[in-house]
Amino acid sequence: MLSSLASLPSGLASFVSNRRKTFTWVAGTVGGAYLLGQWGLRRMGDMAEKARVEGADRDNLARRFNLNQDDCQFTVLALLPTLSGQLMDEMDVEACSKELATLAQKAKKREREQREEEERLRLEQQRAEEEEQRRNEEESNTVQDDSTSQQNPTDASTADESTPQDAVSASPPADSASDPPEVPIIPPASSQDPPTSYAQAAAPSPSLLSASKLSAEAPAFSPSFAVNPAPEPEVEVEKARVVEEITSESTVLSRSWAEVVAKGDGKAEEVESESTVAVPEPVVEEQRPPAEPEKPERTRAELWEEIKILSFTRTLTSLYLLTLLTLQTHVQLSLLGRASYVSSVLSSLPPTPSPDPLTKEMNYGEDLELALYGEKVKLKEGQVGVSKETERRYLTCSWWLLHKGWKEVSEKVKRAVEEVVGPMGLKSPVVYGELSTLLGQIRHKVDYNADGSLYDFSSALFPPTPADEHETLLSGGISLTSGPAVTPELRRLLNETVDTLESGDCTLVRKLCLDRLFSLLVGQLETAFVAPPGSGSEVMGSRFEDVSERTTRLAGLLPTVARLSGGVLNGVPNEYLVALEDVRELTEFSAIIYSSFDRDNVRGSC
Amino acid sequence: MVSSLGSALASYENLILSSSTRVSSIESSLRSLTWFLPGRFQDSEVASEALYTLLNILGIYHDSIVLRTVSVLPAPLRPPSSSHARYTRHYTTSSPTYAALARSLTILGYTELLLEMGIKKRLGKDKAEKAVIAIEGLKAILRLAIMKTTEGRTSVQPPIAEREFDPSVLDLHKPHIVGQPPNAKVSFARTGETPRSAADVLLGREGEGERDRVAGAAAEELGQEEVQQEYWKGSRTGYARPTIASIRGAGEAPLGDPTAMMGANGGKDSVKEFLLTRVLTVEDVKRPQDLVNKAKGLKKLAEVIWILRPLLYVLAMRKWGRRHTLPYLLSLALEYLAFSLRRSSTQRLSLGKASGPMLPNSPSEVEKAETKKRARAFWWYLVRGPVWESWTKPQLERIAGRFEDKPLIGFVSTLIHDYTPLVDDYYFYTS
Repeated sequence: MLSSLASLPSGLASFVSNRRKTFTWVAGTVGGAYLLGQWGLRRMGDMAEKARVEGADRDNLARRFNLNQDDCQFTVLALLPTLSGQLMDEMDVEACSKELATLAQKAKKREREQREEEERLRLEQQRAEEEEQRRNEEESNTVQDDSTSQQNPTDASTADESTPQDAVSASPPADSASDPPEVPIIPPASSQDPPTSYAQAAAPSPSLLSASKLSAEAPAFSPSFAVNPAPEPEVEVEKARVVEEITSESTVLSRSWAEVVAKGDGKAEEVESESTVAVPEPVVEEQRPPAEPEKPERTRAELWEEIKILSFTRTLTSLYLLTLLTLQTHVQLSLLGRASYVSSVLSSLPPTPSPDPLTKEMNYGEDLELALYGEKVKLKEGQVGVSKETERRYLTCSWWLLHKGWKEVSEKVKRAVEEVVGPMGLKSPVVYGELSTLLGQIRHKVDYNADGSLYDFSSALFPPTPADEHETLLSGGISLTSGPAVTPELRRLLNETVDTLESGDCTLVRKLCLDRLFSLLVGQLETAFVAPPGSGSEVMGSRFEDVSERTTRLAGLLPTVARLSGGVLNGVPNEYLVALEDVRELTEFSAIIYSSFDRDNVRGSC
Repeated sequence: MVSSLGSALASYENLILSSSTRVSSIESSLRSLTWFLPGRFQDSEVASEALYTLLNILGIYHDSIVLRTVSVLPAPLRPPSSSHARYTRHYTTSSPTYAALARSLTILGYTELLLEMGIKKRLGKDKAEKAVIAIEGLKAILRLAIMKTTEGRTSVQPPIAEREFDPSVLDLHKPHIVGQPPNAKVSFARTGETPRSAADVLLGREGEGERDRVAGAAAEELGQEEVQQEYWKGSRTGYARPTIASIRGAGEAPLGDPTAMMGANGGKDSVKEFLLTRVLTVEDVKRPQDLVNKAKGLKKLAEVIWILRPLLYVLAMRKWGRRHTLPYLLSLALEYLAFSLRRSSTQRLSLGKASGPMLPNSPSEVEKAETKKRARAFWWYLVRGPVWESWTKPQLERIAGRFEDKPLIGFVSTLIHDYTPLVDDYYFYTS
């Protein structure tokens, strides 16, 4: 027993000593494996944590940037109505077209009167005796001759090239029966949908327009052609023709003309024209001095010229303004977004031990609550980024473009349009394939100065002088009671913005945006073009119609052109704004601006 | 005389900058040569060490030139710098004292071995040991002074910024650098060089007349056809921003290509990738001086122990002998004490439940890297004192004997044979 007890340790000792190598090996292996495992686990934990933090950092930036891009779009959408309202008021194509339409209506009314008179005469004739009837018939014949003579110009202008089988010349008299729809259809001038006003003013229904492409342009402009057969810019020639025309017209017609002449205003005209029905003819006769008939004709020519210039100017200005506003907004919001991004990262910083009495007393490293409090204190002190007030003022600066700057752009565009489109006759044919060249010419004149250097839009984008800045801020609703209007912080921000907008890259982005918008515009203008009449019958059924071969007259293009400016600024959804999303360079440019903090001096660079 | 020296220096700096890639490749090949030099001939280790020291000191000088040049590059071209570089650069630029201390410490670190060798060869073993003590003492003083200058921040190794980027960066931006007086700050505003960006080219812009032609001529001089600028500069603010063309990766659609729209072919990706390179981390936005926390209490004690440890070690060795166990254990104990104090004081908070960068005093990347570096320093104890004598050296010799006859890896054994006597003889080989 004892011996066995004594032998146990010795046995164990010998057992251990015999297998020392094995034990060492086992211990070494197990220990090594354990240590290795621990090290690996720690390593993996570190890596996972690192990946998590990195992912969070990346998400933060990507998410903020994407939100910022969305904000840009919304801001532009929100600002566009301001711009479009002014643009529509300034370049009121609708008013012009309405005026034209009223004149056209006049012409129709005149015809109606003429008809009524005919009817009346006929009724009288029926009641009259045979001899009298014959005499009356002769009289009515002369009147009808006059009416055809009045419609001849229409035929000459519209039908001779496109279609002799003139639905147009036939339709106005036919309309006289179904007259009522015409007057109420004409929308008010403030309407933002010019095309319908155009189309409806002249054609019975828009569906008819699209149904018969052949007459697409003719009905829309028949009122003008009815009255103004020669829309040549040379007013002198026109005058002569008009006078000629008028003298050849019947007395009934010339009388109603005189009424039109007397009134300048469309509305008053309308009222007047109705009253003239009751007005005894002698009075009308008196109202017709020899010089006056020329005036409405001139007004019509001018109206047409104006519509031509204005519709192009308005639509192209819309494109330019949309581009400029988009760029401005992107730069502004990117710069502000940059500051907010940096400050968001800064806010995750631990508070630094500062000589703050509150944090100095305690070792706040021990106390989580105090640490967080210390951080808040620090945040309030070292606010990085742009202050709310500066931000407000900075954003207010876009008031300039919205209320003043756009006029400069529109002036520039108008001049370009006048130079390029001005000399073109309303009837001059436009081939679809050449449309982009035409627009390109206008663009070139807008983009470049006369000496070939790039035009600088910066004075349109931001107030160029301190006085303008003051005005902008004041008008933008900033109370400037205390301190300077432009604080150093704001000045720095504005300088950077203008620098950015003047950079070559920004010019490039502007060009690409405009490219995109113009190509979209050209695409949407396609509806205004019809297949060339010569090949019309053959091509009609063919699926391979060459779109670029299609042609229209300049006049036929105008309603579509004018209508599209509404689409650019007011479209819901705004196709043009959406199209700008496709401009990759815009996003890249924004990304550059958004991330343009200097890593070595993050605080100082935004 | 002075002026000729100055101009020589200037032209030398220009040479370094203009052929930075070549210079750095020469440097690295010479450095690897020094590894194979010891044991080749009489006193070859001194020659090798002298060459090595010279290379390192020249390297510091080159780095300072390159850094100076790079730091005046416009922001988008500047290669990103690490936290360590930001921290050290901040102090070298803001505090001349720190700069002087850190430079001397670095140079001392590079020359210590050469000094020990020279003194041992010339003046004998005793003088060499005294010199070692003096050097370690000096290093401790310098480190303590640095700690004082940095208001109690723990020291980082090395105390000056390292070369972190490929010197070919300089070659890329050669047009911006060459031709400038290197001593003066390279200023782009002064040269009046207008960046001609890809955008300008696309827009067919005729450039800004004279100035562009000058830039073009400069480009021709350098034998490059079209210098596509990678940035543009605002005239009012002077801020430089990268161009759109520069953020496009290679092989992507050219600018203004209408087919390169967003979506299918990954137009958005270039934006995303670019943004990824611009992500700011908490480290990035910290002020450089905040990258290393001020040491307080135990951590400060740990730092002081860590600084004094080599001095105590050499003093103890002087007293008890080089291969005595006592100094070895003392040094190991001190170093471990310092290390564990450092780690516990920085990890105490981050190990808790509420860990993360939100908490104060959580170690930054620089500090973490420094802690890791110090942890790795424990491997040196395998080649020091009694462990070297009784275990590591025999093991190495066994390995060397086994590899001796093998054809390709035979050089390992020659290396071991060449270096073991050096480790035996000199303290600074394993310090």
